[in-house]
Amino acid sequence: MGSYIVRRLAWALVVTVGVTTLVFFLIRAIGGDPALIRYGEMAREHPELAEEFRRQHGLDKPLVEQYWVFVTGAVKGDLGNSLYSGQPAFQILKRGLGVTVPLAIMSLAFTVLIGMSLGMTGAFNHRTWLDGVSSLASLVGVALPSFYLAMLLLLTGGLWLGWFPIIGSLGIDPLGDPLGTAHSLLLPSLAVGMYSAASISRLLRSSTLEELRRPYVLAARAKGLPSSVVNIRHALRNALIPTVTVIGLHVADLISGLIFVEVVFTLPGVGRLFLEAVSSRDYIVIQAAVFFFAISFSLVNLVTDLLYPVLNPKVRLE
Amino acid sequence: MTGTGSEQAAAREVSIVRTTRRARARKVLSTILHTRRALVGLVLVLGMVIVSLFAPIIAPYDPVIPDHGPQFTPPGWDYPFGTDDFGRDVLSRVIWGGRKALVISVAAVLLAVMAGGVLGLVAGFVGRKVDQLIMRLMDILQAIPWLVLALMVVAFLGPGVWNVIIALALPGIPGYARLVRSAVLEVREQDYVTAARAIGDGPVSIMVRQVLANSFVPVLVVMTLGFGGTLIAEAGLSFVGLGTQPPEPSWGRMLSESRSFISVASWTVVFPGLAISWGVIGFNILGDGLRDALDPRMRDIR
Repeated sequence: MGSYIVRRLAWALVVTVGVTTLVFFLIRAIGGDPALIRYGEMAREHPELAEEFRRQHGLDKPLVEQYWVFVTGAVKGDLGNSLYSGQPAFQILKRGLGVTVPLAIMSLAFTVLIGMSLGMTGAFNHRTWLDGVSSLASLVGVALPSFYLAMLLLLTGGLWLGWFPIIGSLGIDPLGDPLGTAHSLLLPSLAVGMYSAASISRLLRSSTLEELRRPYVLAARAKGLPSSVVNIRHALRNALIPTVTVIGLHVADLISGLIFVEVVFTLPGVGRLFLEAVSSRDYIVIQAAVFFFAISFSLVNLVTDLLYPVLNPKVRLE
Repeated sequence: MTGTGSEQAAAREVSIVRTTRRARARKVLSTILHTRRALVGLVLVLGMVIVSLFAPIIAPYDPVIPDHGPQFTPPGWDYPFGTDDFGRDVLSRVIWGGRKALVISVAAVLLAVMAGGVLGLVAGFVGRKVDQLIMRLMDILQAIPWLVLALMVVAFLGPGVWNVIIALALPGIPGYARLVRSAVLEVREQDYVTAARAIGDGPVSIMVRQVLANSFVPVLVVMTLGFGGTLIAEAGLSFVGLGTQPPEPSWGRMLSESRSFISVASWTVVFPGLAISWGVIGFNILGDGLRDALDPRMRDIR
């Protein structure tokens, strides 16, 4: 068990460092010169301006040295200063987290809740109308891009019914007013979580059906266990193993969804910050945002990895 | 070289394989046509392909020139999907937008299959350190949200069609690499590969032929499902302003432009999105149906 945790921790670290490193070099390989974008035509007339800009932000140093500065800084919680506002990237990120963290948690909760209930409904009522309805729901859910679903929800729940705020940034204060925040973020998080919920429900349904056909399920039924026990404690528990892994991998999709939905609902979160940083080529803020995405992905996957031995005692021995 | 006994035997073998293969293809085709699910998917996808192919004939108006109707006409006889802020026919724009989306998606998926296939072959056959390196790289690539990767590629390289295709192909590569690699590992252990080697096939041709034959079905299924995902991704890139550039119509851009008048012209939001969902549902059902038809293990479960 101990060595398992250590191995998974090491893996989370490798993914975080790998993603951040890949992006660090990718932006520098294809990103062009931010000084030219900052000063435009002026950079041609006054090359010393661009020169000074590069020197000031350490962009004139060799790549390996820039990387070393970034890594040593990141360890100490210093992600560098924005190329435009000059503010510490960490501070900029922190402002976005107040929106993005509650939004992400609610989206993940919707993914798990909706995905599991649809999947279980389908599997335990195989080939009945309930199975048909839940299969149809997941088919439609997978085919609704988050940005489209967000606009449909905005149109119905926000404009026509008037039940939810149209501008999401109002009333978001996760620590001071958690209920109001949940209310403001309900539609956005539903839009983010639906796609993953739908695809997880399809997986859970088919893997549960697969388990239900195994001999041990027949044995459990033969020994007279009630079908709820057989379904949930035997079949579902085993079917959850592949599903839990896939939920972890879906965090990457959730992050893509977050970016879109923050745009649609004009939420000042990390996704919008990232989008703005990409269009202004603010390398430092891009790096900081990707660092945050990579850490979130690794953390959730670490949690799902640790759920493994809980679901399947055999893993403990490895 | 004159025909030796073993070559003749091999040729006989090949002709047997060919006939069985043809028979199998016929069987697969008839299974698809008899699987209701696959058929529904096929009809939806063919519908989209035909509409895209004949866009110049089918689309009632020009999708770009902004002067054929009053702006914000609700859906009706003259404009089935209504008109947008420039008075352009939304139906015509949806049709032309689909044509572009389809071409880009097909190109991106093919590129991802080729790149992933080569990486998977190399990883599976070379093994050891190379395998480790490639697969770890794939893991890391999969940990980056597709939009983050695609945004950076298109924003930095510029929004040309080829850059969009590359950006959409990148996130798909790890999946195909894994499929092909696992096919290589499976094939390597099979007796018939040893047999093929014994009748004189070189290692390279064994590798390619057997692996391709073995990974064909899963790759085809994942590709079909991949088209749907890529349609969404293409629309997503256009939605944030980095895919197809105006005034060319594209589903994602139509959605993002209609954001500012969502309260007065909801049809400009609803129809481009419905078109995306149509395509995605079509490819998803077709993919599921193909899996049912081609992978007998899955048939009873679905």
